[in-house]
Amino acid sequence: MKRYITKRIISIIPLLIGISFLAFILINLSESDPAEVALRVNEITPTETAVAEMREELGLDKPFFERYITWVTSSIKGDFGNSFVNNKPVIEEIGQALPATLMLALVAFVMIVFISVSASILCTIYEGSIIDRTIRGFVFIAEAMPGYWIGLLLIWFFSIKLNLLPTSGMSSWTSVILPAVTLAFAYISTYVRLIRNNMVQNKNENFVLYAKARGMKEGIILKRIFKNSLQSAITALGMSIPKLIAGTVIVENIFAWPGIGRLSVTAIFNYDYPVIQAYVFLMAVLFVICNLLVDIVTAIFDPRMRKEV
Amino acid sequence: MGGLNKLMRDRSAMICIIFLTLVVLAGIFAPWLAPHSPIDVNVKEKLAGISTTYPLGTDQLGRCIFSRLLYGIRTTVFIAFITMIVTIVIGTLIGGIAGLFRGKIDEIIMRICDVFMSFPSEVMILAIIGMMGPGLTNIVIASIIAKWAWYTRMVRSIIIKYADKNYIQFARVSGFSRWHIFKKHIMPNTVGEISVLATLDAGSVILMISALSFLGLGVQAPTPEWGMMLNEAKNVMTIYPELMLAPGIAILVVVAAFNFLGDSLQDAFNVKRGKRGKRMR
Amino acid sequence: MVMLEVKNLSIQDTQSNEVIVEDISFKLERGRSLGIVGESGSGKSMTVKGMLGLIAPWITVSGAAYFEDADMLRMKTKSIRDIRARHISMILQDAMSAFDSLDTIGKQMQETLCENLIISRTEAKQVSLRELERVGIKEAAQVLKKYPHQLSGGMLQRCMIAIAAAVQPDIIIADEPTTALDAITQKEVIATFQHLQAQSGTTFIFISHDLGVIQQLTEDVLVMKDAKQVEYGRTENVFQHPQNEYTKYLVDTRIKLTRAFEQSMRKDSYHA
Ligand SMILES: Nc1ncnc2c1ncn2[C@@H]1O[C@H](COP(=O)(O)OP(=O)(O)OP(=O)(O)O)[C@@H](O)[C@H]1O
Ligand SMILES: [Mg+2]
Repeated sequence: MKRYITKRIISIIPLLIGISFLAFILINLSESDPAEVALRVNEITPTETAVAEMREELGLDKPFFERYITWVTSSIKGDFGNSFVNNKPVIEEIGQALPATLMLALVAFVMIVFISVSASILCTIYEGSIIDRTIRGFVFIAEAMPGYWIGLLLIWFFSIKLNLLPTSGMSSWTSVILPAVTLAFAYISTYVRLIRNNMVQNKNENFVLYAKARGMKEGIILKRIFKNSLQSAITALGMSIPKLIAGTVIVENIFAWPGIGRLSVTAIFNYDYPVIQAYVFLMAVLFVICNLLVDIVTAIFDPRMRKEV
Repeated sequence: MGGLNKLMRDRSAMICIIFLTLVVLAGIFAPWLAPHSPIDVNVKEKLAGISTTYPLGTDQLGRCIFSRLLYGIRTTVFIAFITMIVTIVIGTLIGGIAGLFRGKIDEIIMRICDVFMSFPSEVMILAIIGMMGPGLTNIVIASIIAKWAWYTRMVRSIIIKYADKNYIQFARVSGFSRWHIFKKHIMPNTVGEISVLATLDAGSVILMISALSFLGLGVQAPTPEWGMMLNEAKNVMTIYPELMLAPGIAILVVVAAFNFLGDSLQDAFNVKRGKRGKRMR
Repeated sequence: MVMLEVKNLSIQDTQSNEVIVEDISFKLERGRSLGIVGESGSGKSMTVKGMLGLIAPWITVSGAAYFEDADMLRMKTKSIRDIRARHISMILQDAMSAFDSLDTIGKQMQETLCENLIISRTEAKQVSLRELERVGIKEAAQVLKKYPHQLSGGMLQRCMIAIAAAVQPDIIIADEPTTALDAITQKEVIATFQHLQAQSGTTFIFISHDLGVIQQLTEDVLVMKDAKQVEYGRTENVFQHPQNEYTKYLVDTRIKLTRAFEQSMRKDSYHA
């Protein structure tokens, strides 16, 4: 087990290098000169000397590879430079916005797990019945609905029409409900489909037939089916965490939620490159770490994986 | 072909095909079909209800919603098409090279795909737009960069699957005949499977493009686009919520039709969808 | 006394409209074991699985299967569950995939015994150990702690036999019970079956390619080909005077090949 984990951790190193390189290239795609942009947003006329000075300050005069190394080492230390817009350290800005995003993602995640797992179990027990078909119909429609449209409809219904919940911001604990539901909505349909199909498929596996032949009760058999489907569910749900955090971009903008999604979109409009860079870097690292954790949890869970150590 | 027959007999799938064809035609002939200009402002007629002059009413600037919806097909749906076509061409070329030549090239291409696929596509797109700035061309480029790796993978595995099936013939014959086998067996099958996958994917591309436009990162005003129309509707939500209906429903119906058709195609031609799992209905 | 009577059993796959089993009828009397033979894919396994309702929902079964005058095909889920294992136990053909891979063999054996014999866990463990030793597993305590993927197909097959025997049902259906076993273990297992027949009065349905085994263990035999039953009668009669072309072919080739081996087997098992 320990060896498996070590092996897995070592195996992500090339991936991390690849990703950081890709992130760096993406960041350097920009058509405009960052030095010039930095000057402009601070309302300094970009004269030739000023641009040259700024380039030096930002380290843009160094060769590409050297810049990459500097960028990676300082990023690992949490130093992403200062925001072009307000000159505050980027890490501070992100640090302020991150908790809001994490809270939103966490609430949405709990909803996703709870609803998709229970809906899948219902579908499996009552396969082919009206319950199963209703849930599947709902899933089909939900998958074709734009998430932001759902958000708007929810605001209109619960905030404007019923005046039950706040429309935006983060004023009280009820504020999180609508954004979290909106965020969860799109994912629930995906995971109900995934987990349900897996469970229904497992229902006809040989081990279920044999459990029936052994005279086991429905409840025990269902538990076995569920346990066997759990692995793919954990993988899928685990992978949904970074996707959820990435998906907060739209929701945070609809609900004016002060998280990193909103921060990054604002940064895009302001050409605030250091903030965008930091956002991309953090998301990529988060994605890789979640990937790793999911693999490890799966291995702990499945005795067949343990053997391969 | 058994699959084609099966599809022809599937009534709901045929309805989807007819519907989507009509949508495409409506987009092409929008200038002739639209009763009004989609961008001309007419403040006197703002927020008008449904009438014979304005089949779906007007928005807060007095623009005809129906006309904007029709022209919106050209942006929302056609841009999704362009994105997909370019992505598929790139994926087919690179995936084809990997699948046909194998060896070192294949190895390198697959490692690069790994890196691209280990990035959540949402973040990748934001990163690219962040660097290149908002705009229609940029979201198309961003989507292509975010998606090419997946298509490359799929094309490669499909080609390998069929090349292995025809392996013996493939090995025996040489030169011209080899090309012949590729043209006769591998290519049609690959094209078929890729079109099924593309249909399944079309809905999500439409959703993505409209979402970016909704955020203001894609299509810029006043060009009509469904996601943007929803963004504009958001501003008058308290006084005139009906404005949210038309564009939202338009997206929903078109995406649902693509998803449904994709599933039927997948059933009819028995295509595996890789890791993502089958959609259900 | 007729324990089990199958009448005009047909099975169809509604997805492909393929007929898997067509019009099978047989009777099982107490103490008279039945053999089912036939080539691969002829529908042997599906016949018995269909009878017990161990099939996918898209597969339909028609006809009737009476167990002590109650038709199992028209029973409620709960009633058929009471018959499975407790009255009719089944040893599945594919041992490798029969157990839940996420749980130990011991746990799965134990739950079966607790459920069907209504005994405590400690008792169940003792019974498990005893039964595993009976099917020739020496290090039984170790085996109980193992996960299915850690055991060979032959081991798992013997675990299934042990489970079936432990419950002491009226009927044991054994689907290819000796395929994954080596010659020596095969002999041991067959001896176990004979012991169960003699001692506990268990009646068997054996599905096998091995005509030697069938001849040794059964009183009646049913021959299947292409989903249909082509011959049914007393084992000796069928094998000595096969009526059907296919049975003739089957008997000819098999008997020729296995005569010598079979005789040695018989001698040995009499001594055992
Ligand atoms: N779950 C299933 N769904 C659909 N068809 C099936 C299923 N299981 C078996 N069949 C089909 O039923 C037919 C009979 O299968 P069965 O397993 O009963 O054969 P068999 O006589 O036991 O063969 P073998 O000696 O190889 O075990 C086969 O053609 C098979 O394709
Ligand atoms: Mg069989």
